[in-house]
Amino acid sequence: MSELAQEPVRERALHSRDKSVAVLIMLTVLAASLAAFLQQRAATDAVKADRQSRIDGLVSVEFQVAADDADSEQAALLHTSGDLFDRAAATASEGGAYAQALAAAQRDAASQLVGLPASVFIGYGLPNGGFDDRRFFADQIGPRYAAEELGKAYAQTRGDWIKHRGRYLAAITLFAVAVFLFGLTLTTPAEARRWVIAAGALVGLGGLGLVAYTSAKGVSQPKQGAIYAYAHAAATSDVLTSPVVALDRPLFESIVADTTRAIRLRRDYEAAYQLRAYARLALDLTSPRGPRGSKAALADDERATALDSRDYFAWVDRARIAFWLGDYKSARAANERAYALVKSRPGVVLQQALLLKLTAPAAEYSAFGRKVFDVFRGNPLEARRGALDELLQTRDLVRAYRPAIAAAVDAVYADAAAVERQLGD
Amino acid sequence: MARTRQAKRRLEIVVLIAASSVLAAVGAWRTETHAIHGDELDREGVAQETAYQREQTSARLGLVDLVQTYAQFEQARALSRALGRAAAGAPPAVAEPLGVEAAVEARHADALLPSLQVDVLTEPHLTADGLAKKFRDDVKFVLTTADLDPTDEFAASNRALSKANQDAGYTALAIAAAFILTLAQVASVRRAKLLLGLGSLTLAAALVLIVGVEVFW
Repeated sequence: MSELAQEPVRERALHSRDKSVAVLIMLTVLAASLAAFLQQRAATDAVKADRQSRIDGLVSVEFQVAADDADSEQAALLHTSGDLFDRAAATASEGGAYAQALAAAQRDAASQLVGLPASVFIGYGLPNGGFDDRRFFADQIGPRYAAEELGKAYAQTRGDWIKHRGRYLAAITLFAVAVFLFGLTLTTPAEARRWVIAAGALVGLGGLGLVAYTSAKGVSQPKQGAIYAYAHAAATSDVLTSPVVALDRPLFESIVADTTRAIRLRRDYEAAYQLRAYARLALDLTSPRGPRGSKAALADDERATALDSRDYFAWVDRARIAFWLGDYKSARAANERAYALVKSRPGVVLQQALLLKLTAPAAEYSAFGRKVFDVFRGNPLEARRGALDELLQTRDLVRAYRPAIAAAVDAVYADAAAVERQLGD
Repeated sequence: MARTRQAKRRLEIVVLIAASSVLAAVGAWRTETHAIHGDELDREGVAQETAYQREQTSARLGLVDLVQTYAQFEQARALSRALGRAAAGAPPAVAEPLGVEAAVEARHADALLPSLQVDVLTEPHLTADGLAKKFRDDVKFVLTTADLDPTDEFAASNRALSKANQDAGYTALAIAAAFILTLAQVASVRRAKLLLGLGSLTLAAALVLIVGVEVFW
C-alpha cells in the first residue's frame, strides 16, 4: 500500500527533474549559440586583419621598388655631370689646342649639371651644390618599412583573432559535451543522475569561463604612431655605412630619438629595442673619448632578446655591447646564442673566435679556426670583407683604448686575415 | 475545459520551440553562406590589389626610363651650349670642330626631346611633382583599361561578413526564444502565459531580423 502511494510522488519528482534537465539543456544551447556568435565575429575580424596584412605586404614591395627607382633616377641625373667630368679628364690628357678647348667645354657643361638632381628633387640640395642622396634614399625607403611593420602588426592581430576563434570553438565543444551529459540523465540510473548533472554543469561552466576569458582578453592592434617612428629610424639605418663612422653620429642620435618615441608608444616593440641598442652601440664606438661600453644599449638588447629569443642581430649586438663593457664571458654567452641561430655568417664566427681567444683555452681557439675557414669559404668576398673590416675597427679601438687585450685581438685579426689570404690564393 | 486549453497551449509551445530551432538552423546556414561569400570577395579584392600594385611597379619603371632620357637630354643640351660658347671665343681652327660638336649635341638633344612627354616637362624641365603627376596619370589610365580597383570587392566583402555576424547574432536570438519557450513549458500556468508571450515575441524578432538581413540589408 505504502509503495503504491509513493509511486505518484516519485513520478512527480522525476517529472520535475526532467523539466530541470530540459531547461539546463536549453540554457547550455543558448550559451553555445552566443559563443558561436562571438566565434563568427572573431572569424570576420581575422579575415579583415588578414586582408590588411596581405595588402601591406604587397604595398611594402611596391614602396621598395619605388625607392630603388627613385634612387636610380637621382643616380642617372647625378651621372650627367660625373660622366662629363670623366670625359673632360680623358680629353685633356690627349693634348693639343682643340682637345684642351673641348675638355674645357665639357668641364663647363659638367659644372652646369652638378645641381641637376637637386633641381628635380627639390629639398635635397647640399650647400656645395651637390645632392644629399642618403637623406633622399632614407625618405624614399621609409614608407616601405612602415608598410612592412603594419603588415606584421596586422598579421599579429589576425593571429590573435584566430586564437580567439579557436577558444570559442573549444567552448562550443564544452557546451556540446555538457548537453550530451544532461541528455544522458534520461537514460542513467536514478542514483547516478545527480552526478551526471553535476558533471554536465561543471563542463558547461568551464565553457562559460572560457568564453568570458576570451572576451575579456584583448586583441593587439597596430600602433601606427610607434610604427611610423620606427620606420623612420629603420630607413635612416638603411643608409649607414659599415663599419660605423663618427660622421654618422647625428644619424645614430636620430635613430635613438625615433626608436625611443616608438618604444614609448609600444612597450613591447622588439625591433625598436634592437635598433636602439645598435644605435647606442654605434654612438659608443664612435665616441670621441673612445668606447666605454653602453649599459643603456645592453639593457635594450636584453629586452629585445627577452621579447624575441630568436633575434640573431640582437644577440650579435648584445655580445658586442658586453665586449665593450668588458664582460667577455657574457659576451661569449650572447654570441653563442647568435651562433646557434645562424652559423654561416662571417661576422658571428669572427666574433666567436675573438671571444674564445679571450675566454677559452688556446686549444679551443685553435680548433675553432677550422670553422672560421669553412664559413669564410662558403661566403662571398663582400661578406668576408665586411666582417674583416668590423674586426679591424675593433682591433684599432682596442689598441687605442684597451691595451690589455690588444695582443689577443691582434692575433685574432692576423689569423682571420691569413684565412682570407688563403682563400684569395 | 481548462485542461484542454492547457494541453493546447503546450502543443503551441512545442510547435514554437520547433519553429525556433528551424529558424536557428536557417540562421546558422545563412551565417556560413555569408561568411564564405565574404571570404571569396576578399580574395578577389586582394588579387585585384596585387594586379594594381604590379601595374604601379610597371608605371614606376616607365618613369626611370623617362628620367634617364631626360638626363641624356640635359647633358646633350648643356654640352651643346658649352661647346657653342667655347667655339665663339676660340681661334677658327679650333672653333670649327667645336661648332660641329655643338651642332651634333644639339641634334642629339632635339632627337631626345619628342620622347620626353611634354606634359611632364615645363620649359622643358623635369620636376618631382611632374613625375608624381605622370605616375598618377599612368596609373589612372591603367585603371580605365582593366578592373584593378578592389574597393568594390572589399566593400562587398565587408557587407557579406557583416551579414554573417548579424545572422550569427540573430541565430542566438532564435535559440533564446527556444529557451524562453522551454521555460514556458515547465513553468506554472500564469508564468507560462507570460513566457509564451515573451518567447513568441523573441521568435518573431529573430524571424524579422533574419529575413531583414536577407532581403533588405
